[in-house]
Amino acid sequence: MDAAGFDLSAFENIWAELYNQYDWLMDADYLDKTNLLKVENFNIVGFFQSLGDYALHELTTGFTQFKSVLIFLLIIALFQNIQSIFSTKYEKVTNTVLKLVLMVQLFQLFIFYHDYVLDILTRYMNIVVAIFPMLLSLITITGALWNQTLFKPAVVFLINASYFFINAISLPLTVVGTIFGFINQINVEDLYGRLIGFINKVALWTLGGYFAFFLTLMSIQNMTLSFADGLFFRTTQNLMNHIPVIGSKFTDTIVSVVSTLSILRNSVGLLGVITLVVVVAFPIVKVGVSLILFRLLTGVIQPIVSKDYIKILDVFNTGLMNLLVIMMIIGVMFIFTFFIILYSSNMMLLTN
Amino acid sequence: MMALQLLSGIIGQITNVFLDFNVGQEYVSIIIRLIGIVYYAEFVSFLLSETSLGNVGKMFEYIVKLYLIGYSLPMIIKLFELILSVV
Repeated sequence: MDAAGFDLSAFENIWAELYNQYDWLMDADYLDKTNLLKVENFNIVGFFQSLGDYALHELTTGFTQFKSVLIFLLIIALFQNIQSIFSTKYEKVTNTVLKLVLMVQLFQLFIFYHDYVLDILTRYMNIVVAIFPMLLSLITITGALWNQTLFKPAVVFLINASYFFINAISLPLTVVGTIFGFINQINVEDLYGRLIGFINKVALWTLGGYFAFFLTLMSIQNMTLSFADGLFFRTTQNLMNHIPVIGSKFTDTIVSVVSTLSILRNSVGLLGVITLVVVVAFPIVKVGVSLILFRLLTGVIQPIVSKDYIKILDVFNTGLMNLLVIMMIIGVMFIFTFFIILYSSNMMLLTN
Repeated sequence: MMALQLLSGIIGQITNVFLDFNVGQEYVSIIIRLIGIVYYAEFVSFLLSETSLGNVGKMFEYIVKLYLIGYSLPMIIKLFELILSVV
């Protein structure tokens, strides 16, 4: 198979969308834009530089939100001081109103990040669905038949289970936990504290447990399948060697073809891994920078306003942190899966 | 009269600060109105107690508290709308 003739339109579409979304990726030259299969030219320093540039850009963008909430909290602090000069008769009522205003602002931001994370993860899994068959077909033609047979249902299950975990468990529980967290702050007493802690833990631990279970399963499969494929390949070679005159020559040719195709398969696989890393790295930076800014805001504002407002900010920070962790778990899980599949299909040649 | 002029001056300054830092207009008006309501309530309550109408003053305070609760109603509705939009 000619590498130049290999259909990379799925990758090209994904990269075109990425270049469209992140302007400065066009200037960053860490991947050959004309030939995506030249993964050996991938410049990891350039990649981290563009991540740094993006983090700075997000810092500037996120600073607008930071500034807005900071000034709002400063005005609340000023208002509380002015009010205490007159009397404290209306303190509880006015505090409730101001807390509601802050909650509405922060909840709007939380919904924005929730939708963003959901959108990114859905797109991310669609990309996996688009590039996975390509890798699988290359694995098949290089002779790793057991890999193809058992990894295909495993990865299809992984994708469906991830959709389920994201849409039915982790993200909805994070939203519910944040809503309860905000409602809890309207009261003076901490009524739902334990429930909120439980919900947040369930949201993360179920996904973390699933991640650990799946990677263990994939690793065990990897070890078993690569040896099975190696044995199969070796047996076929031995059988063909028994064909008089042309047997050994035919075997040598087959080994050469499979080795050459393995280079193409590794290039496509690595391109897939790089694509997945790039797709998920920028959103992680975006949410991470916002989280750092809001944690900083909580720290800066703590001595000035009453702790009720700090607790509201803490609820928002916990929700944002959960979103970030969910995105990281899903991102890392698929990247590891691709690595394991690639490693497993290469192990076949090594065990041979 | 002088107190009112001072108050409107303070409110004007606070509004400018809010507007300079791109804080939402609706939130600005809520805080400013809160300052105004609390200040006027205190002022009226003080006047009533000075004119030996302490009971009326107490009733007035209750009304102001109720008004403040009613004032937070749009915020509560908005919060519920946001919750419903995501759940």
